[in-house]
Amino acid sequence: MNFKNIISIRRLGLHIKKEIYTKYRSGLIAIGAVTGILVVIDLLPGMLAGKPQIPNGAFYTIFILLGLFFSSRAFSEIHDEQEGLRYLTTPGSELERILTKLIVTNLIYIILGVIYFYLVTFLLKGMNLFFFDVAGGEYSFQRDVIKNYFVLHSVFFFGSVYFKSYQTIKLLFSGFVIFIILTIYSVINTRIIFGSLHLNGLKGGLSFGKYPEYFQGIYDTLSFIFRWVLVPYFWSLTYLRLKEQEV
Amino acid sequence: MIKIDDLYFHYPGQEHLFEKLNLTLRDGAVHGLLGKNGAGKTTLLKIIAGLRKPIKGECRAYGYDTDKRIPDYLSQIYFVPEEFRLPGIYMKEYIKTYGPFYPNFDRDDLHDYLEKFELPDHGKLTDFSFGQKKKFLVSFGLATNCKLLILDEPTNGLDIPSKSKFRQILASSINSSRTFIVSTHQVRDIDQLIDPIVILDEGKIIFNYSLNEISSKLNIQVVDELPDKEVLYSENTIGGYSIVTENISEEGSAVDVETVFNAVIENQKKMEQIFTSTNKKD
Repeated sequence: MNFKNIISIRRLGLHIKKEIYTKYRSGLIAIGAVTGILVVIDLLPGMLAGKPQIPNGAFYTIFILLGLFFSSRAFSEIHDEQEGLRYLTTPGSELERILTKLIVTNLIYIILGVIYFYLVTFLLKGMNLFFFDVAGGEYSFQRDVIKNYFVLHSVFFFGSVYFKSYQTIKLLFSGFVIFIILTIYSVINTRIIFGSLHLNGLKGGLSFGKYPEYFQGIYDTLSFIFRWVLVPYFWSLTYLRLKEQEV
Repeated sequence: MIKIDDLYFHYPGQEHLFEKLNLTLRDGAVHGLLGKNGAGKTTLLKIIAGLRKPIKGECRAYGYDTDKRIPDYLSQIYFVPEEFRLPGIYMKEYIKTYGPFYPNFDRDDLHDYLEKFELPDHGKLTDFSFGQKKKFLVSFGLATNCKLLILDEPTNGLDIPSKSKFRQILASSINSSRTFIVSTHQVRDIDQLIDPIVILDEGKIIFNYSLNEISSKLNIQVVDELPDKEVLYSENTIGGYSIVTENISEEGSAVDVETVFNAVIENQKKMEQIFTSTNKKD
């Protein structure tokens, strides 16, 4: 097969351009709304107690939630007959289609998110100095947020191609169910292997007594899976699902 | 050339829509795909465009399996659906965004078509009426200069002058390197353009003949009274009957596509006999 039918840089560029042209308006609306929320969260403590606080926690939460929302809607057009027809007949390979969505909802989103973080921090600091004579904190973007977003993104990305409607809600619901099943499974396993499970209350977490290495091993394995296996796994599933998509 | 061999298709949980469907469409023609509601015309168009995958059998166009949606194939086809939703962007943005995907896209051609349709060459697409959007899509499709243009009910939503313009534009863009597949219920809108006529009924192609073949084998005329000789189809018209009979003379007659369609649907077996026996004679 002609390699250009698998991937063509020119066509990939055209798809990215198309994606940005057709979606940038909703992006701008989101930026406006987020900026408004962050300004309110920053200024509120200043107005109430004279101590404005740059809302880093809120920023990270919004960054992840908004990103996951966009990711879960990445392939929304394929679930609509009219839009799907145009999307799937526009010349391009499945690899190009998936790379386009990945680049826009992951790479470009992260880059713009970091730039926006510094711009909004700069803006908020300026406002805080202007209104309250204090900066409200010095912050730098935490890389762990990006790492976690990168992994979670792949799950929501797959959900966007798999679920026909209410992708975000269905994904959160599925995640919740999977979490409960895994928890029950872990508790049963622990009881079978160790005879008992010491729960030191919700705040204390789990205590595994004399088996810390065993659990460290489990933790390391799960960490490895979370960081390195989930992403390619869900990307591959998304690719396969897109390939068989019909409208 | 488009060739469909022993194709089976059904929607999930439903009975077979196509069973052992065979069809060959030659290049450089305007194929009129006709059929009753639910005959599967749109599905067949979607299979040709790679939007639906056959359960069994194959559909090949220009050497490509259509269900693989190979980019080289997709860049040679353009599908104007009956119903569509355009993105909320300006016309210029749409042209700039989608035009480059098609190697033979010609901006000047597009402006010509827009002018002929009396459409503005600017403005937000979502602000246009349904008819204007359709004219824009048809113009864009023609301007891609694709090998295959698929038009599903292209005259739906067009006003009377626009239908006439559509006929003129389509007629002017017909050439030996382009193939059109036009699916429509409103045959009178385009009956001067389509040749051959392809009729789909109950999941099978029951008729696929050129106007020449039809005119040499069928006689379509308006008479005051129904004749004694075998009439394949008749319908009341103002001042008499429009009838279809077997053409036994050497002369061809004018073809009325709608009457032919009704005759084929109503008298399938006899039609098959007439066309196959004459073909053998040929």
